[in-house]
Amino acid sequence: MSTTDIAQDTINATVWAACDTFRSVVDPGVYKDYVLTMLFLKYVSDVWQDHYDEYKAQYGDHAELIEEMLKNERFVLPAKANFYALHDKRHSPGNGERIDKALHAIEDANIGKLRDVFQDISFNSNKLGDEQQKNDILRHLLEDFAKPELNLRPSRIGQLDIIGNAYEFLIKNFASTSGKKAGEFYTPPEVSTLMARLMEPKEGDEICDPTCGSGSLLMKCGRLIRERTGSRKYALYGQEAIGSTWALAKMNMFLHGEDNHRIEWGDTIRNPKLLDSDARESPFVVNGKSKQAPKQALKPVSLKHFDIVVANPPFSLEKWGHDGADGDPYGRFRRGVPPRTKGDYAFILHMIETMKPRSGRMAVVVPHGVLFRGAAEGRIRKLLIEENLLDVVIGLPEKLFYGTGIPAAVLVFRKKKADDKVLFIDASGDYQDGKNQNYLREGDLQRILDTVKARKSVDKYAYLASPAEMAENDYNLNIPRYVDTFEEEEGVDLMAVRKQREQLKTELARLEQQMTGYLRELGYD
Amino acid sequence: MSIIIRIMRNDAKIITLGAVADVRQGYPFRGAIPEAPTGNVRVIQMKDLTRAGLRDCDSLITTEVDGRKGPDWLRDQDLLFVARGTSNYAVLLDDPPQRTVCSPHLYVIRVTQLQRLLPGFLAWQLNQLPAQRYLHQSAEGSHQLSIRRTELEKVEIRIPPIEQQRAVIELERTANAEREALKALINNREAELAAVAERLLG
Repeated sequence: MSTTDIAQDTINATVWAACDTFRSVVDPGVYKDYVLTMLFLKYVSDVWQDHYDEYKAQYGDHAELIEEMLKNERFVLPAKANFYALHDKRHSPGNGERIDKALHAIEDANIGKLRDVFQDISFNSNKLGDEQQKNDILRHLLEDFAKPELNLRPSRIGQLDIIGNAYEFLIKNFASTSGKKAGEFYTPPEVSTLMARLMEPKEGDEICDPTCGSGSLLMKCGRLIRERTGSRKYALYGQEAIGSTWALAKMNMFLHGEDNHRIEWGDTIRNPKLLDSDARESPFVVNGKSKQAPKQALKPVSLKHFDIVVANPPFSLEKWGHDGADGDPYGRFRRGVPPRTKGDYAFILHMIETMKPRSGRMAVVVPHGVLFRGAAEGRIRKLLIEENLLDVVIGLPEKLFYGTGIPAAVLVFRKKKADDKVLFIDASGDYQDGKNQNYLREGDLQRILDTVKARKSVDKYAYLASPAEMAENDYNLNIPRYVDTFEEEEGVDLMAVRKQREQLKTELARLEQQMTGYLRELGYD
Repeated sequence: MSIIIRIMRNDAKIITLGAVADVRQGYPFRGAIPEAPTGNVRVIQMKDLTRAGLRDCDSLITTEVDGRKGPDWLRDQDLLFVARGTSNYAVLLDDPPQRTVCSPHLYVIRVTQLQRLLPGFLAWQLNQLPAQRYLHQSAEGSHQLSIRRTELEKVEIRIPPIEQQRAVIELERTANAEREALKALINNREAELAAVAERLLG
């Protein structure tokens, strides 16, 4: 184990232990926001302090000069909003109020980056119990984060990744312990790795996740570009409906050094926020008729397009926004409106509409119903296949996701395909057994990726289907229709079976006789 | 039923287990057993046992055991007794590999008076209703049930003549063989039906 691994493990363990303060008092779904926010605050404070000390060593007592230099920091930290200031006052009442004030001060001082991030989180909340208990819990929390193991100064821990990883570690652990709700903010890491690698992100790509949760899938794509090319030239876009999860995603991005992101808060179907900026900037002019354009016309007309669109949308969301879908201003449902109670195709169609015309490619996690359900969904599916957009269908093992045991599939769509066929892969049998959860191993991922690359049928694993074959199956994409994994039974030799039967009968007769003998010995006739 | 009644109604001597056998706990590993692929000591754990006996000698984990005094190795005809959980039973070891110990969750029962009591017969008796009823009563615990050694030593054991003990062991062995043969017969019939299906429908 390298030293960075050790540092990572201790930090992970220490932040996880900090959650003990909350356990049995508050629900994990509530305290995760507190712990993650505190980690962010601590990080910002430590960076600030580190640089402050550095400047102080350099410039001595020139307080004004130091102050001036610190204004160029990534995050500006008002004096009273420092973690250590809060920690110093931890024994006097009013911890919750002080932390809230500090967060708002930080938000105001960095409004460009942190606008609204802390609005949904209140440490001064009755969720933590009455005044005294709340103060007590928060004092413990401040003390936990003041431990030397959680000294997050850059001069101590070096690269930023350790903090980002600790943040993700927390999110992952919250996901695996908080049951049903977990799927809302976290995709299992192997699945996001698989999707990122399927997309083969390149330098210069614009990448979007319209249901980004805590943002880890997006960052996987970015990291892949950095690893493969060393370049930081890419742009991450995301949208998340739940306010507190959106805040998590923002903090997650900053802690991973992905400052150049655009994550919007809002419902992707009802209110897509990632729009084409050109359309917005171009002023609406109606030949000088009226300077005040009608309100409707001011609305930008087109969605922003991306090179890569990835998502793990909620499975079969019931209230996805069916009512407004018919008159969607962006024409996303021109292939048909998905059923009222199943939002799967709403997300797929949104993603399809946001792919760039040439380089656009997308990967989406869906429940299996998407492959075979009929009615409106069947018609949409047929059109997507006829337009030659669907590229690969991958069936994943069951029990891979948090909060649900159902097996899911990954669909890959491409704007420009090399052929008119669809590759089906049945990867449902390749996984590592876990206690409550299954995992994909590196070998399982590689097998999928190799097969996608080769784009050839593999016996009992993959099948390259032609449009005619899919039409023959009525555009039902149920994977077993294409990939036959049924084990052929070996031919039975009836003569051998009969012979064995006779032998067994003889054997039984012999045993019966023996047993009679033993019973007699025991005095039973 | 009449068989059981005849056996039970005999005048065979009743004696406590502690009087005819040594009972000791398995090797006192602290916490998880450190697995060492190159270790030269094999360990039998709870998961390696079923009521039918030891699962598979090759799947036992190996480890290193240190200490001045070597552990008490398991021997042929030792009994292992599962004292944890809701199911308590004894298993007879038939020539275990050399240098094998068992985890501390198991008791090792070693018969000291071999001329009076056959280990195989003891194993069988511990798994029968009278002993099981006693064991069930002496199991304690709020999270996981377990039986203390002193309680196990107090199980009452009947000691019929050696020939009868031997006959019971043989009877049990043949009964097991019969069960296997009957299972094979069921599988055989399924194979026969599969063959018919293949011919008619294939």
